[in-house]
Amino acid sequence: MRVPSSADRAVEALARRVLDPVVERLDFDRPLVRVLAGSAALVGAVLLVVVVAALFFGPAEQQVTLNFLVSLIAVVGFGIYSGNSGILTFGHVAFMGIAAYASALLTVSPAIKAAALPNLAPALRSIELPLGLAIVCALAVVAIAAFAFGFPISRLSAAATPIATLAMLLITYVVLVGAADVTRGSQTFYGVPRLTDMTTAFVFSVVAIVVARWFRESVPGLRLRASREDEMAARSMGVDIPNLRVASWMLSALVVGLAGVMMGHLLTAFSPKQFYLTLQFALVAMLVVGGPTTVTGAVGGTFLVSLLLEMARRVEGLLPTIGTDAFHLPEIFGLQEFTLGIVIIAVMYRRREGLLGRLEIDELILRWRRHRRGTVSPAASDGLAARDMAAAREEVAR
Amino acid sequence: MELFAQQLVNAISLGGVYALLALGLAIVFSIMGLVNFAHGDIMTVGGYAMWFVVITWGMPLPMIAAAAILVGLVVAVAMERIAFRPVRGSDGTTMLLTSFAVSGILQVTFQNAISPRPRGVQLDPAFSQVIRVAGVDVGIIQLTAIVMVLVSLALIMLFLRRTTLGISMRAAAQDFSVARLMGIRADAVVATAFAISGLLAGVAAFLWVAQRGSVDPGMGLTPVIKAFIAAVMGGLGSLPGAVLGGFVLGVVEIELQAWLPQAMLPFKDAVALVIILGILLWRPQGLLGRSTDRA
Amino acid sequence: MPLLSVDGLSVSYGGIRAVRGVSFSVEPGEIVAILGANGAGKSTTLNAVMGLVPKIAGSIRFDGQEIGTTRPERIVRLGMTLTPEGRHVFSNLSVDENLVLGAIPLRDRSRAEALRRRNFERFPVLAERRRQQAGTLSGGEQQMLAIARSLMSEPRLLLLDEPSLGLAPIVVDRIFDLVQDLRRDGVTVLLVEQNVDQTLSIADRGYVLASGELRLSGSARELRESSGIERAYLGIGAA
Repeated sequence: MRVPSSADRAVEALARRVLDPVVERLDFDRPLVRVLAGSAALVGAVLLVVVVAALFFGPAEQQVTLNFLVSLIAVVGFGIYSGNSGILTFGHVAFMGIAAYASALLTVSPAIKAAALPNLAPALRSIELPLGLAIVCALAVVAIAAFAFGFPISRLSAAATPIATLAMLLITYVVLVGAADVTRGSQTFYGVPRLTDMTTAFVFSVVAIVVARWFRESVPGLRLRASREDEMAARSMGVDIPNLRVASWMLSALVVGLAGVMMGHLLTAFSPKQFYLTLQFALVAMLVVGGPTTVTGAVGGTFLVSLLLEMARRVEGLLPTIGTDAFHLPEIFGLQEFTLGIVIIAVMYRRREGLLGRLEIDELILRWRRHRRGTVSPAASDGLAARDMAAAREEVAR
Repeated sequence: MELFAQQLVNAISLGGVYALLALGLAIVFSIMGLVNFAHGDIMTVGGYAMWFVVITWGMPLPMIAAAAILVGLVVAVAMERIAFRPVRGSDGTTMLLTSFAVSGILQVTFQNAISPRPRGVQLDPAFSQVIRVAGVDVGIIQLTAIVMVLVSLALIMLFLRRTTLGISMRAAAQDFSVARLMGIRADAVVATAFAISGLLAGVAAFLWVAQRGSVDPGMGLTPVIKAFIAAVMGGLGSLPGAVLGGFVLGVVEIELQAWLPQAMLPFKDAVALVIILGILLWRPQGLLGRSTDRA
Repeated sequence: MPLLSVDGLSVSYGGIRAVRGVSFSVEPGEIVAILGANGAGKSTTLNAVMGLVPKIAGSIRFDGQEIGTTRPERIVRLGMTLTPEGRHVFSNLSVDENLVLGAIPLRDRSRAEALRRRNFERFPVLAERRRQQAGTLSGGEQQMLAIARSLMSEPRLLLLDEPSLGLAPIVVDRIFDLVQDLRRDGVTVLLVEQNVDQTLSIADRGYVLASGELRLSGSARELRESSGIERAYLGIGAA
């Protein structure tokens, strides 16, 4: 038996005074309550990261935090499709690219466009929209592309789908490079106004989290999750899997598109390569490390992997400076990608459901409170959870 | 007529490479349910083997080809032993992600151990000559490609039809656990599947590098994504389907090359893939796939 | 010494115990039946004995040797094999190819040839269709092929999982005749069935499973005469 430290006791006192009254008043059987409570907890955690970065750190760390928020929107967006349907996407970065270019085209000043894109259609050349309108237009473009791809892809088998999403990414990449009149091809598209700041990025993160949580608890979301556990059973219960997949795919693409707009206005200059496999690799890692089936996992995984990537980036910068004149440590390219690879493999070998498992944060907190208040012993309740899970699976299987 | 013959030669030599890659992917998928994203890196290693052999010993062509094939085979088998055995039998997503990570790690390794830039592979200039056969210009490389592709496919087919191990592989592809009841060793079947896929990737690497004259860390990526989608088009898990899908993709690309207007040529790959997605919209299970394939 | 003895076998599927503490044995030359309703754990028991699903407790001894953690491909070489429920012939392969695979555990090729001839005598219809794809055979023919394929490894003990499932009565009669023939040829048979009457008419002894537990055991005659069987089937509990 561990002796509770003073920190433990402080946490316990805080929980008793603040958490318990809230938990007692809320009816967690209602989906809306779960959506709001779960979102609030996650938003609180993200807000904490933002505030700490803004108060205690310099511009470099704030830039990292901005990257984190943009990744978070994208990863939470991935999760809306992949987490609920159980089918990985290796192509949603395409929607980031489409959105980034669309929004950039609409916001870059006509003067820059005249110089950078001489062959642009006159109507597009003279246009200069505020961010809000640009987002709406960019997401409209994303919606069209998402439907065009999503409709055929959702009819494929679960094994073939990731491959088709990869093809989608390749198609988008080729088109972005090929459409040089509009995108400057593989050259850098520059002069994009820097409109992504901490506030907008945070607000859109909140939007992404709430939308994702709401979809997860909604009836279509629940049906889609049932199809993830047992496709045949869900189909025999009359669940229209292709249409549900298209619906979640579209919603997911829109949220990912939002991340693309944010990323474009954060980078201010970019090329199609930045919306290709390297980014896709990083975002997939974030999704699976935390646990792809929950929004909590997406947020936690994004935080953890962002942190690891930043550490790798700094080590990469430091390595060549270590050592004497005679002996230098070699410069390592792609230490970040290497880290991502190792992290994914470690999770796949050791903990396939992701570090944060299959429970959302509100479910985790509820369980923790029940343990602490001694209604059930931790061991017994873990057993219960496992049995609930098995029962739920049985339910779906029937 | 001559134009047709010309295009046929082009389509078979290009589609043949896709067919070899797609067949390798399909064999591994049908045996263990793994969509091996790192297949392209096996091809890349084969390319580096050629580069190494050329700059170190300047060996004759058959030796270079043998090096690519042998290295492809060894790397594929090693990959299975080291990376995929711990996740064997788990769900498709887990295996796919593992292969995705393996691919990322290998590419970083190539960048650091060799170079992020392309390495030139100079083959015998006689190899890139063009000869005239019955009024059709045929590159020696293309001719070699056609011969090597057809020989490889014929050998694989003979192996799968005539040998006990080959029949075991087909059985295991259909039902792995019943195959084990026949006393078929799971390890042997999986290792053989990887060996074949690596061998085919090695042949593909030789033909690919011979055409392009260089190898870089991401070389395998694009052809393998295309081969993947070709395998899906043929019916994922169906071996004849994979070969058919590869050839169809070759024909589509060559036709697009010939008929697309100049302004559209940069979009050739995209158009080809969109056509294939269109075919999949019409037949989601693939050309030769059964309607209920394993998820 | 029993050919197969299973002691306290437990198997769990996704957190649910499908088989709990089951013990039974099979003597050389016997036909032993395992009876029970759907979902009683019969197939799970056979699969665990063959090493296809992991057990969580208990011991399995074949011919005196502990095989509780042995892989199925090894077990087949020791002389025990399973004809799975629902036949599971390799439908894309020809009849001949299916039989070739069955003989993989044999070291001696000429022995395999002799066995194939013996099987074609036993099942003339298979000889007629040897080049045909197995998937094109009728259900009864597929069941015969599945059994023939198992016999190609010359098992001392054959586990038969519901061979009569979904077959016409006349075909079922043939299958039960065949099981008796097999015993005459020196093959011991452990037969899992739902078809109680016919099974007990050919079996020496039987065990009855319900909800993953052993409810009854005895000679075929005792089981036929006891009223416990129906009760066990209905899940009321053992006598």
